[in-house]
Amino acid sequence: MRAPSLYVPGRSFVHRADPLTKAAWAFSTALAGFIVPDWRATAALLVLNLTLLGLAGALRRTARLILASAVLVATFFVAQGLSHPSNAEPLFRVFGLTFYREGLLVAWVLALRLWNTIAAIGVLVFTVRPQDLVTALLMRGLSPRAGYALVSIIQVLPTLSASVATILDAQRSRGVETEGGLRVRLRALLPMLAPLIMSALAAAQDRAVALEVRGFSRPGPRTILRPVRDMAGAAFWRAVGLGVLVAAVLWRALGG
Amino acid sequence: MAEAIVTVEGLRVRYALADEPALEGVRLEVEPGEFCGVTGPHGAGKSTLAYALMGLLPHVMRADVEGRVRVAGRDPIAEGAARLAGDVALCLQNPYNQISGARDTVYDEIAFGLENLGLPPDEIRARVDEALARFGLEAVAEENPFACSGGQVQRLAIASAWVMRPRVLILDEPTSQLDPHGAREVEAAVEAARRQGMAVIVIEHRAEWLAARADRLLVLRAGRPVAAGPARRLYGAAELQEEDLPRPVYTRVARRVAELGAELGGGGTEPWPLTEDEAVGQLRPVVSRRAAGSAGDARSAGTAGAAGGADDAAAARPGRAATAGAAPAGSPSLLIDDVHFAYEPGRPVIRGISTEIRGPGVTALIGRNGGGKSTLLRLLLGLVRPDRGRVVVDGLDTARATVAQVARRLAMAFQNPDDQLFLGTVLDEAMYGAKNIGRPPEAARASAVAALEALGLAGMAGRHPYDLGFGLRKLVTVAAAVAMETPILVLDEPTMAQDEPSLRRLAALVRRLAESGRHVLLVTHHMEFAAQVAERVLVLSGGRILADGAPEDVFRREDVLAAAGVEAPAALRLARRLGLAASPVTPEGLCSAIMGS
Repeated sequence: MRAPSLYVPGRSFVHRADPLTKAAWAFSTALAGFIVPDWRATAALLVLNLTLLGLAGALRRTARLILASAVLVATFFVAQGLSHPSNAEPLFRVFGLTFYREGLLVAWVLALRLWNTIAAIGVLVFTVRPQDLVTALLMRGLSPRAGYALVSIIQVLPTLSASVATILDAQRSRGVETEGGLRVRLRALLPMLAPLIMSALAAAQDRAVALEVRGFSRPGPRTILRPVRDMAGAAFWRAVGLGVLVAAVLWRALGG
Repeated sequence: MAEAIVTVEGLRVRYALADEPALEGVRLEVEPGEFCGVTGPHGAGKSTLAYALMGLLPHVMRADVEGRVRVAGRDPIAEGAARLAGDVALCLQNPYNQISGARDTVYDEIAFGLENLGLPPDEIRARVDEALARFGLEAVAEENPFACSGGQVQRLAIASAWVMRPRVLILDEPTSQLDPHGAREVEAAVEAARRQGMAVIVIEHRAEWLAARADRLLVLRAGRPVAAGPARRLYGAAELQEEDLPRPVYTRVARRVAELGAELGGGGTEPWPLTEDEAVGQLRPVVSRRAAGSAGDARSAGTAGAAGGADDAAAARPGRAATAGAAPAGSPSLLIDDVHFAYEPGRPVIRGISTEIRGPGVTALIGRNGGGKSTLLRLLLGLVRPDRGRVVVDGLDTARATVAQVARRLAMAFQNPDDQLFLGTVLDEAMYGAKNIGRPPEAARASAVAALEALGLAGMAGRHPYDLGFGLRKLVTVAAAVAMETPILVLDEPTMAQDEPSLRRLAALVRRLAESGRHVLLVTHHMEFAAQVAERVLVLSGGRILADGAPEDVFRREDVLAAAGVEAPAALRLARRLGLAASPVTPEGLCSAIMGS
């Protein structure tokens, strides 16, 4: 089974930055990308985040995600280019359909915002181990149960895709045809989903037991073996992130 | 006599919605530093006892619990598992579900319980380092637990319980997914735990381990105690049936030799041998006497002595000619031709395997965890395609066929039964594959019923598979694969979590299938089972076949076995200690070799 984490191991300065600073950066730049009124500012944020991802060695994985959004982005251009309310200046015609400059610009802005959000979140999820993020939150008072819920979703849910692959293999070996038309694929759904749900329920019960026997619900203090410390200058970098967000809000409010 | 650290009196457990109690009238005492084995056939209530001792009943699992239970001075029924953590630790049967999901490295997963106990970081690190070394997990310390192999996950689960240094350690079938090398590591860890004063309770089917190491035993059947007491006394108790308490190979061989008229060492005053050393002590005089008595005959008969020591059971196996010669028309055939495969570039898993199976018979595929066995099976079914080379199943190149088409020629029971069970009854599950590959419903039903009967599951045909224990669910998937009646049948770890009666039925079924013209490919860590039913053994390690031949030849090659993390069957190890010239791999063969010596 492949490692289910999204984390890309590395020792870059992006990796070394503490999780909460990166979380603050990701949140601020993703949100600022939506707020700034000029698409060139969103593009600049995108370039900045892509640069960080490049330095962290996670550019290829980010590119895959951006490529995966191509269908959605294409719908932006088709829908907005053809029918945005502000459409006035025809730009070109395809198969008898007229695309307008105004609508295409709106689609371009939407695409930039989407890509910037992907890149900003990428800075967080590709360079932070989920466990470190949760540890940082626990050290700031998050309850262990809430922390477990967060990290187990990040950790355990990706294993479901591995389970799906194994179950698919097991059912195909019993003659279940999964390659073919829609009807064939629909017939394969039940033998696929039912074992997945049943084994997930059984696993949930066993996992609850595993947590209990290892003292997860035990009252009293617990140790954090790998405490997550703030990076040097964390306050400054968080302020930079917040500053980007505030600047975006002010720019928008002042009608830039 | 030390004061008992585990005391159970009149324990009765009835799960919510169940009509019958899962346990009734159980009584048990275990002292610090003792190894207590809990054994018995499927459905005996062994795991339920573990849940009760750990305080999971009724706090995590709904059940009515009566009786008095004291563990490490605590009342688990009243206090619950979380409060007992640190004093009592439990490792469940399915190791995959023991991964907490809270940590993303093996190192941190082992440390998780210690963090919950609030131990100082330096102590946690020292304990984790010790556990990594003891369970052979150093190489994967920084790997994600979900990315580890089955054997690694099982060792990780045990290490995570062991590292808490509880006063009572409970292990539910801790070696069921391990290769023999991994099993030895677990056995050594249990011994170390005892020496540290832990009471260790092990739920186990393997008689050789329990007989050699357990101080006391509790034998259960259908939720009721059949016997309890010192292990040595119970193994010697003639009234205890093999079905309830299987005897180790050493006992069975000594008994059989005595039945054949030989006088064992010790003059008949010693109890039956439970360990290899004891068996050597009792059988060596027999071998010496017979060798001296028959020296003249042996000289005149050339090598007849050695030939007579060849495994009679092996000679009786079906399909002796499965590896050579032309296959009869319509008989199973499987060609693996220079197959290479890697999941990721630069990390080959299968490195140029070539072999062929022709005609009916039984082949065992053995090797260490993570050695490429499961990947090879995926290649056989066409679930993955070779990077180089080809796999041809009964004339069908798997690269040019869908998996469903291959499944008409080769049926497989996967390792984890829960990956395939989903229908409402055992019978429906058993028929499912046969119907899918186009067999008429009535024929599929007949095949399924026959397979269930052969595996002792006929009485459970109407039950929901998830109402059965893991071992029985495993048998359901075997029955489903058998019912497909394909020329080739692949069984991945069919002996996992099986009791003695099920093993016997499984062996008989496999032999019968081979006699009826099919070829059964077994993947197993159970060397005794492989030696008993297979006429050919393939040893796979590091993605390569290290040895291929008859069990008597392959199991003799100690260098190959060591490289593959497996070991010779107990009968052959004992034969070596006795200085026999022959290489018997089954108890029957060993008896013949001793009597022919």
